[in-house]
Amino acid sequence: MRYPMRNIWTIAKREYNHYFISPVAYVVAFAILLVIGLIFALVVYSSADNALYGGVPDIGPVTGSFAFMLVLSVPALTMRLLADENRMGTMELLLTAPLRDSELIVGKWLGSLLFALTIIAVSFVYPVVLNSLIEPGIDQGAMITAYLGLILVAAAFLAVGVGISSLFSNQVAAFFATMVALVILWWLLGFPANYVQKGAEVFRYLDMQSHFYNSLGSGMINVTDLVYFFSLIAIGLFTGTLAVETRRWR
Amino acid sequence: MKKNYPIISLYVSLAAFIALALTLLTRGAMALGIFTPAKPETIDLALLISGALVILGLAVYAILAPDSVRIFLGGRQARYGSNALVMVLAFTGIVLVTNYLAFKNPKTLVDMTEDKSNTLAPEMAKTLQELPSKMTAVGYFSPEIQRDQAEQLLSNMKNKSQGNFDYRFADPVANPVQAKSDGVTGDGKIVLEMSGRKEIADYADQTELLRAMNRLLNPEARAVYFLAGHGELNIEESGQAGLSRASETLTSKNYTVKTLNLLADNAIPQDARAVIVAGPQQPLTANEVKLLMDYTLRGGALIVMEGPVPLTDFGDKPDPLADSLDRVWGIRLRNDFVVDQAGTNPLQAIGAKYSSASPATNAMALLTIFPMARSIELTQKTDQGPITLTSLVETSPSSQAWGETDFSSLEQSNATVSLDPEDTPGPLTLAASAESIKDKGRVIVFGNAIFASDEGFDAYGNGDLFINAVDWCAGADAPVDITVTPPTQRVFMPPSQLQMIAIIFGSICVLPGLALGAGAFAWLSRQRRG
Repeated sequence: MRYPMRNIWTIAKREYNHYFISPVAYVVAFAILLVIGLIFALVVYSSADNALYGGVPDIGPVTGSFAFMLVLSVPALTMRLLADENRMGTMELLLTAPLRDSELIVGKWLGSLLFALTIIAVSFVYPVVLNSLIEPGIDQGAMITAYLGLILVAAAFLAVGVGISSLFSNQVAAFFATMVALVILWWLLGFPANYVQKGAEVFRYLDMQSHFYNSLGSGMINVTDLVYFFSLIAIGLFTGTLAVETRRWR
Repeated sequence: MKKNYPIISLYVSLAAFIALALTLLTRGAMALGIFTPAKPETIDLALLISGALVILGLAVYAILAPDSVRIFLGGRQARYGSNALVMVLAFTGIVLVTNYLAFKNPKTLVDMTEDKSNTLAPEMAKTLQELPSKMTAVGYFSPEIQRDQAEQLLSNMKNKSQGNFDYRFADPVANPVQAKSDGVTGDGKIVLEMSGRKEIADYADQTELLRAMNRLLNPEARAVYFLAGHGELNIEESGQAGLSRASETLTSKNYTVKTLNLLADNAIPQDARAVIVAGPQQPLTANEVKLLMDYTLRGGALIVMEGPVPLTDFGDKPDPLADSLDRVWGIRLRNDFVVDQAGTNPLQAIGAKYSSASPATNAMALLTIFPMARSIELTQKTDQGPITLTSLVETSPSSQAWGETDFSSLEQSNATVSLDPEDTPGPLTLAASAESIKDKGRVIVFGNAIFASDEGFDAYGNGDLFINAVDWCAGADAPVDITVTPPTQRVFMPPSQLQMIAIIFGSICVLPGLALGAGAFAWLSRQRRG
């Protein structure tokens, strides 16, 4: 009797625990929390300074800067996941285990996602503080979709990172390749939309920022956004699975 | 040497495959409308040739090296490789089709905002669903201004329209000719087009867009008349004495622009939505003024643009129009000229403060420049019933501006002027409106006409102000009944000093410090364990 979920969960737990003994994960958590903390403090300070003008801050700057930090930090979280197994030669051990390739990849991705969710959960303190400073509180619905967007961005980035990590046996190469892929997804794909007359909508659709800021960040859940993010997750995980599988017969 | 021939055919095949991939990419871009080559048929030809070369190269290789092909096809790698290829093709197909369907049928699952601020009002949704033909919106937004809100609104409208509404964006700075032909006078405007007719929404807002859509769906003749016969600015002339830009822009907004000679016609035409008196050089006769006043008292609309007296040929002659505006509508044109120290030229009055109460100015974002203007006073004392008087445009409260009454300084090139007791201190009103509550007659008075001439029309917000004034007078701002949930009023309660210190310390030091501390603890534990 096969229990795929049990296998996935075992690998995810192992990876999740591994983050807590890795200095890289703490540095990533420190950097993310420092930047969003700094931005949150600035937002509250400037709002207090300009309180007479009636400006009311929202949670956008926190979730926006968090997403920006994910572009820079996800490569550090995923570079090790499979590249290290390839380098250490432990991949062969995993390939002989009673485990499907897809279970291995999904488990690795889930472990990294759980770590990202932990940092996202810590950042939840900012909307709570902001809620206490605004009468009658922040827009809860918009806050929920912004956080859902953040989770989807993290999940998609991590899947891309896992997929790329499976292609390399060198962590540094995996880091830079993932960084390039995320920069393209986050900044460059949507760039031509501002300059081309025809087909601008296609570039806007491919632009991850527009899915994050324009709909989820604005309180809406669109079918297109869900399809876009789940497609990216599927592409990343499929690439990883295929890369591991080809090792069997290459 | 002979042994290399099969490999050469494989290289040819590989090169052809790369060419095929690039051609397919180009073909895809063509299909999406991103790129259109001069001769589209050459792309199809390149596709055929590169495809044929791929097959030909493989076939030549198979003929020249049959053993290698047999080994490859029968091998383990080929078996697994073909399985992987099928999986990749199937997966790519599923991802592409799913995303294509989602792209073509965008649908909002839920608007989670408390005020449903992303949801279209039922009236807007109904109008979109009942569009009789295709309507296109072009949002004129330069990179200087945010267009996210407009994009969201237009995207929601497209989704609700059952395929009859589409939109695109254009940069008015990069495409000035296109913007001019659409009658766009500023940034952030949306041009709606249906069946060859166009209407402009001044800003991205449901009410404003629905108003423009209603005008487009219910076309009616809207004639505005420019008074002639007293040396007024001419709608057919270009340059300082011309109003050709204003006339073109009004025409592109579906106005019929005509001239009116009251001395000859002795009556205001029935179809007049507004009469504009743009910079007369000679005073109007008492009879003409009576006709205009009677017209406004019957619910008509009048725009008067009169600059300082020394710049006209009025001399000491009485100005019956100015007298009637004062007496009937409570708007007095002061006998002065505005000196404004806000800009580099003190004789250019700068309109910096706009009334938020009037539709003619509530969306004005840019400054307006009035070269040689006179100031306006709202007297509140009128002959007719209750009216709403509004100071539309004022000089900046912080700038040193005043209404100078010493006209002799205008004749001396190096004369200096100063605020004297007989002058009017600023801030000064540069444009004012009056509306009769009972008869709905509307009047707007500007202390200057040059701002709307070809010389000033495209400067800053000048064109916008003039067109908005005509729209308001002509009733193009007709109210629309739209059900939009009023936004929840939120108030930020500034934290106390102690709370602020706690927030800053907690955000910058405590939370990141905890992560760093936990990392140090984990590292030390590992070191201790060896």
